[in-house]
Amino acid sequence: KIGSPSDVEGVRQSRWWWWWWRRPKQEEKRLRAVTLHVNSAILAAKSPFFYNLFSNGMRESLNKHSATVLRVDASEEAAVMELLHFAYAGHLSRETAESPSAVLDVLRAADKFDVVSCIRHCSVLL
Amino acid sequence: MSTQKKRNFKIEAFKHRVELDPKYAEKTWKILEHAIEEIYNHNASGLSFEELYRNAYNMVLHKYGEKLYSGLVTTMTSHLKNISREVELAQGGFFLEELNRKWEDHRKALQMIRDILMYMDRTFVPSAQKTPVNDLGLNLWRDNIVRSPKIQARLKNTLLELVERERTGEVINRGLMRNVIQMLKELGPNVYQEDFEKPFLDVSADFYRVESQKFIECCDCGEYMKKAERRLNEETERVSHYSAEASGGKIENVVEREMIANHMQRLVQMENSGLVNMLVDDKYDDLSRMYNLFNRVPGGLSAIKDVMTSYLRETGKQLVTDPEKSKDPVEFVQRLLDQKDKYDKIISLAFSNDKTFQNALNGSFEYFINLNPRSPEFISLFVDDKLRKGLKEVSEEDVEVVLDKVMMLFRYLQEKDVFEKYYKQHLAKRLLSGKSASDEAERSLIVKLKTECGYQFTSKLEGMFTDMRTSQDTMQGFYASQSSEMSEGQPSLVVQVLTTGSWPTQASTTCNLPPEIHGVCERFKAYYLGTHSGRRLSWQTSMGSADLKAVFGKGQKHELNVSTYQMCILMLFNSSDQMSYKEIEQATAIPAPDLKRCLQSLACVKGKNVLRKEPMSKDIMEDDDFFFNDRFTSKFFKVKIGTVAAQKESEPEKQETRQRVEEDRKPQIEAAIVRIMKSRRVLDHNNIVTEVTKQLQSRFLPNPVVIKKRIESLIEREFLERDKVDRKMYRYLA
Repeated sequence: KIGSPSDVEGVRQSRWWWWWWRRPKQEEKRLRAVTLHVNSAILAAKSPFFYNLFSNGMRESLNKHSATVLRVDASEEAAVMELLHFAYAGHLSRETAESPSAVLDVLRAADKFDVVSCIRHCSVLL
Repeated sequence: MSTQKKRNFKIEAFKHRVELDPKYAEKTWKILEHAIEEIYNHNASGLSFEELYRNAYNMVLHKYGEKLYSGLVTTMTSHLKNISREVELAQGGFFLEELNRKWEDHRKALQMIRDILMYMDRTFVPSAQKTPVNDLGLNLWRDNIVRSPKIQARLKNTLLELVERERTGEVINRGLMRNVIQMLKELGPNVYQEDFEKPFLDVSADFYRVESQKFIECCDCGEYMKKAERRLNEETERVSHYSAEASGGKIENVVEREMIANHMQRLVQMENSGLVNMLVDDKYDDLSRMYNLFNRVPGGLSAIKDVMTSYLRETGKQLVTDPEKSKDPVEFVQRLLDQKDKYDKIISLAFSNDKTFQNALNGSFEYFINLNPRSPEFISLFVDDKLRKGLKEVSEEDVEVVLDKVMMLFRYLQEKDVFEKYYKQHLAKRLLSGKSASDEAERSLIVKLKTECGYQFTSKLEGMFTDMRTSQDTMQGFYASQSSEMSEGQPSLVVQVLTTGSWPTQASTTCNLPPEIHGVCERFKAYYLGTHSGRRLSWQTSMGSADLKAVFGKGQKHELNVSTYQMCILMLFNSSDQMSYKEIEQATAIPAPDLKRCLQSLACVKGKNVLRKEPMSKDIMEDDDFFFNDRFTSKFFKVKIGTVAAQKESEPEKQETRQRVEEDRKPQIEAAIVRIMKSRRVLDHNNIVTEVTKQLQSRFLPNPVVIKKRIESLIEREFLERDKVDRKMYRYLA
């Protein structure tokens, strides 16, 4: 299990912190957790999923000081990271962009989290 | 091409990617179903959004969208059925509150459910052509709650009862009402209309039908209007408080129909308080209210206008045809002006200067002013009265105001040429007797007439002014040339040289002038003809006046202001103290009616009787004798002896004027016919009549029979000919 992130109080007010879990499907015990610091406003602007995650009145949006957990499959990990990169940067990394299968993975992740701009971007790349 | 292949390949691979637990779908759905339960139970804070979204996403991804969707429908339906039972159980007044609370809950829950099923909403719903989650939730609410048999009627009745209670003055919870109506609106326009608007309008119609009936039985018109206006405002305000603005226009229509349109005629004609009474009493507020309310319903304004018009015509007709009231022309016209002012004020204050009302007013005036054939004469007399003396005390702006008003009446006249005739006569009298109060005002009216009727109408009137001015110059010239021959004691002469045609024609019967005067006149004639060759002068003795110095018995001196005829008579008494009627008639050769009138004013008017008559009586007989009245006294040095001449025309004079007018019209009609035929060449009878009428209506309304006669006369004189085939057609002969 993961403790709360160490950061200055003031920054906490304006940012959402969440942890990245990776759980291989068959082996429940082998969970891997990655902690990322993200800006909730940026993600919410890009994706209705994140918008609701941070606002719709369920656990994640109510416990503002503890980490928000997002579970993904191991096979999705790279794509999800790339999607987050896109949310901030507006483009994919060069390695990803050059590999159609990687782009396809990102597209799938973008579809899952409803990041319209990324879906469009990937469609153009493909 | 290669990209296409790649994409296909990848998608294929994706399909086979995940191996699934056979019970996976069931297990996942249970989690979601439990979550929906929890949401409805207000326990959403314990749920993980991320987990629920992921589960719903996975179900859709693994082709269990249908299961997810139908599961949602089942769960929500059963949940709503429970809610429905709870709402049904609510007692009396708590029913609406309970319904509203449950609705708020449902809406919040629906929002959350939609959020977790977002992926399904985005992908599965459109492809499977299902109703989106939000709409589904509203539809289920509609079918299971709002339209459930036990709730639908109760909801409707509760709402209507609240409206009714508020209408009768109770205070109700408007916020609650507003929320419930908002709910109905969110459930779709159809629900709002059927479950609220329609019954609301029906009930309102019943309510106002009964209420208006009650009001109209016990209230007067003004009171009723106030109530109707208040009700209208209340309803407008009500729908805005209920957030049912969409029904605003409709409920207003209902009130307008029930309270105004259905009782329009009765209101307008209500005895003792209807429109006529409002008009009579100048009730601007009530009239304005009536105008605004009636303006909202079709035919409302014309109902007001019709009653106003018929009332105006009725009273106007009485005004102009009542022989009592037309005795004094000045008062007659003043009454018309007052009437016009009154209605102008009403239209501007209460009827927002409505053009159609102004037209109705003008039409009515035009109608009844022309009912009295003497209106043109009276209007001219009114002007005469104003320009003669009345204006001495008033300022120039006021003169303008009065003249403008007179012009307005003038516009209503159909027989403008008759007015012109009289105006000319009256103006001539004013000018010749020097009684015109203000040259300025005279000219201003002429200018007004000119702008109204054109140059032709006033050219002769202007000619009269010109004559007056040239006469002044002529007189100066005359006295300058005669200065050497003029001696003291000789009568001084003022001559006004009038152009024939510009002035009203007078039968020029010259009387015998006294020799003293005759000499001066001859000298003037010689002077005038000497400077203007080729002219002819004739003396209009009937129009002049004279100042005489007279010494009476006790030596008191008076200056007598008399007419030329009277002067001739009085001069005879210089040589003898007694004369018979016959002798006077012979000596002066004044026409008998004028002579009698002059003698009457010299001998029979008290305080001005410089002559004495024997026998004493009111009327002049042919065998009367006249004496110089030695005992005449007056406290004034100057004595004005008027002629006993009626200001108004007498019956035969009127006939004569009328005949002259008709005579004058003939050439005008002929000219119009010729003008028209010249441009049209061929035209049938009826069209000629219409065109002529149109051309001449600014001056008078020609009689079709007269037009026909003129056409015949023109045919005789070979200006026109009848078409040989079609006898109704005329042809212009150039």
